[in-house]
Amino acid sequence: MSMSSADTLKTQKRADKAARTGTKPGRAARGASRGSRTRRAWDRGNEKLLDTLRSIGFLGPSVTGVAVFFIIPFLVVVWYSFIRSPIKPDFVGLENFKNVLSNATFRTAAKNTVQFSVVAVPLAVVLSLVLALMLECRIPCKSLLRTFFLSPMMVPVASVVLIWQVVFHYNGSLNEVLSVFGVEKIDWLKSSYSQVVLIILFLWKNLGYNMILFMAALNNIPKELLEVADVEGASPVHKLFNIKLRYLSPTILFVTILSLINSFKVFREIFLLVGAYPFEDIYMLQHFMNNTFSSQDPQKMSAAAVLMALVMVGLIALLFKVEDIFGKDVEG
Amino acid sequence: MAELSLRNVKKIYDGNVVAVQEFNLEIADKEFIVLVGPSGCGKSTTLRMVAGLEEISEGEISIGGRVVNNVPPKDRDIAMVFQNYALYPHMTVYDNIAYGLRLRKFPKKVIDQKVREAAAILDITELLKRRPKALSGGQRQRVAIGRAIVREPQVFLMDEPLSNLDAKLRNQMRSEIIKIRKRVNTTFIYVTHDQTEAMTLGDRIVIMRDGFVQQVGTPQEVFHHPANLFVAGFIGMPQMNFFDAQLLLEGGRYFVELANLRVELSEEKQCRLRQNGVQAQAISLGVRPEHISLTEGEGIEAEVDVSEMMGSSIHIHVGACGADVVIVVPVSEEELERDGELFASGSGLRFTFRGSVAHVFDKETGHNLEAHQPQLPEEPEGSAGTEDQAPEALEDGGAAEAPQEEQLPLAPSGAGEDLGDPFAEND
Repeated sequence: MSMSSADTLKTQKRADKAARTGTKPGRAARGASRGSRTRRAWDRGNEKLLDTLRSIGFLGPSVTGVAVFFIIPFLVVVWYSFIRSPIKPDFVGLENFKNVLSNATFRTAAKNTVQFSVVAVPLAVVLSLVLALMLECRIPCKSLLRTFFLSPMMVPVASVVLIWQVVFHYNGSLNEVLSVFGVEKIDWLKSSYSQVVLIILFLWKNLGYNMILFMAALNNIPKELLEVADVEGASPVHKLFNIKLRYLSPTILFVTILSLINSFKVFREIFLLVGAYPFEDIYMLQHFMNNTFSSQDPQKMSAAAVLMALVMVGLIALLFKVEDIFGKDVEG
Repeated sequence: MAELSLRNVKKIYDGNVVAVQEFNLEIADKEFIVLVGPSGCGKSTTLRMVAGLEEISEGEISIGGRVVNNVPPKDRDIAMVFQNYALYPHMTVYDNIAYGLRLRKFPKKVIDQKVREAAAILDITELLKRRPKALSGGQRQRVAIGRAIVREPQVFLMDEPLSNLDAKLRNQMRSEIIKIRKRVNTTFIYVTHDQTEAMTLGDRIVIMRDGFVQQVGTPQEVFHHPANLFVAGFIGMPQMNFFDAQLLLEGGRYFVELANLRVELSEEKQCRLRQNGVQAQAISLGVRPEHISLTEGEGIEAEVDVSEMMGSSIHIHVGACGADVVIVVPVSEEELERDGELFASGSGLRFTFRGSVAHVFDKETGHNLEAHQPQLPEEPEGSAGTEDQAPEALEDGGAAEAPQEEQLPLAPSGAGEDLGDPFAEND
């Protein structure tokens, strides 16, 4: 039976008095203080449990979404890459990876993807930075230009592709214009020019967004630092390389990662332009995965996807490392 | 080291927002000028126009006799210290200080020598290898000052350099700046919103409001002879008390009448008012809290609202004549023990003031009625000796007796008139 509140109070008072006078508390007082300690521990435990439940309640929906649509499928893909087939799931070690790496189509797709990314990503970063710096200066029609560069973002890819087909088709408008100058017809999408067309399309689509990110970052550079440089006699080039780029390094990293991911996703545009089997030069890794998936070869597809994910993670880790070297001093 | 001149300088931003209006100032070589005023008064804009960081809409700025309106900041031979230090986070203290010298292609040896000299002056030698992130606010500001002094500029500009520091550090850095000024010995323009900084640092103070210069003068001038109600209220801590009162003219003598108290103005004030042809009228009367004294005899009845013990003095907030009045009473510990009850909330007291410390302002325009008189009669020597006459003595050439006035070359003649300094002709 529990003690009445009056009794508890009395024993508590006795314990307090004992603590003040330095005498040993009686048995009842010791019991009461032990009781209150247990109660406090119990309350603390409850509070912690409630906290955990609250956190789970808030995090649950997003964790479930990410798990169902990203983490679990990726784990399934990783599992598929190590088995013979989903019907006969024997562990085959790295056999699927060996098969993929020795596959000529995969090699072509990988080569094209790397080639495209190596050219398109730096261009997307540098050109958008140049545009942002240009729009930062006092030039006329600033907002008009900003809207112009942003507009490709707002247009759905499917409709854009239609226009590009009209422009770059063998009998398209570009060839018509060039024929005026006596240039022979070029099959833009089925020749060695196809990757150039793709790079232009990629830049046209992505420059605006990257530029807005750079413009926001440029605005965040403390103005006083640039003013000090002005007073001290720094040239515009010195200011760009020694101050602006330092402060832009986190944004450069972000834009690079974003462009890298987008460069791997350029499959969408190619697929809409020329279908699942384009000209060899623009046959990308995602074509390979799409086609192996269509031909019901999930092992090859999974192994290729895991390899691609590994390369991406490696590249992003490298970029973070580089950014850490250049940007650590200027961040908060 | 150079003199600086701002003539009819105006700054109008897009959308016709006028930030600075007809700014005129002649700054002598090695003078320390403080621009002071509330936020948005145009003081920082003026400084930035001198630096070349802001374009001048109208007027002319010249440094050392050379018009610099279209000269880029780097060629103006100025250095600037910013409120938030503006140190490069990726550079060490050494590199930050050496930054300007490196850009100007000084030899390495010279850079090293100058950086170490500046560091020694500012007592930051042991911090030279650190990054700004690892420094306290005060240390960062020293580095920023170091970067500015190392180039030995003609003009040294400081934009609220102490605003980001806590009160204690601010006081400490204020005295540091006074020392640095003595060592650097160049022309300074210092912007602040803190009247204490303005009073303690400046040879002359420029008080601004809404883009207009309100008054230019030595700290003593602006304190003892404010040009208008704004200056009177802005300069001085605690703020000057203002009352609705009457200025009386009886038998050729001026009196101020406040409630039951009638005070005859001092001889100097009589003279000024007479020369300005001031008539009896309703006025705004200003009396500084430290110039009000408690009395047992004739005085204004008041009731104590709150008393603030400040250590060596007590600030008594009382309600009197429909206004909240602050009275500063210097007290010793014994006096406080003996008379403490007098200052308790709710207790009644009587206060008065002398005719020499009463400031009379036009009720309509807020202008000081004593200002703009053509010439004052010569005051006999030694008249500044008494406490009562001290402020007036400064007016009558006494300003020249102020220590800093002796050290400093005077501004070119006529500068005061350009600035609309109502007491300029007295100097």
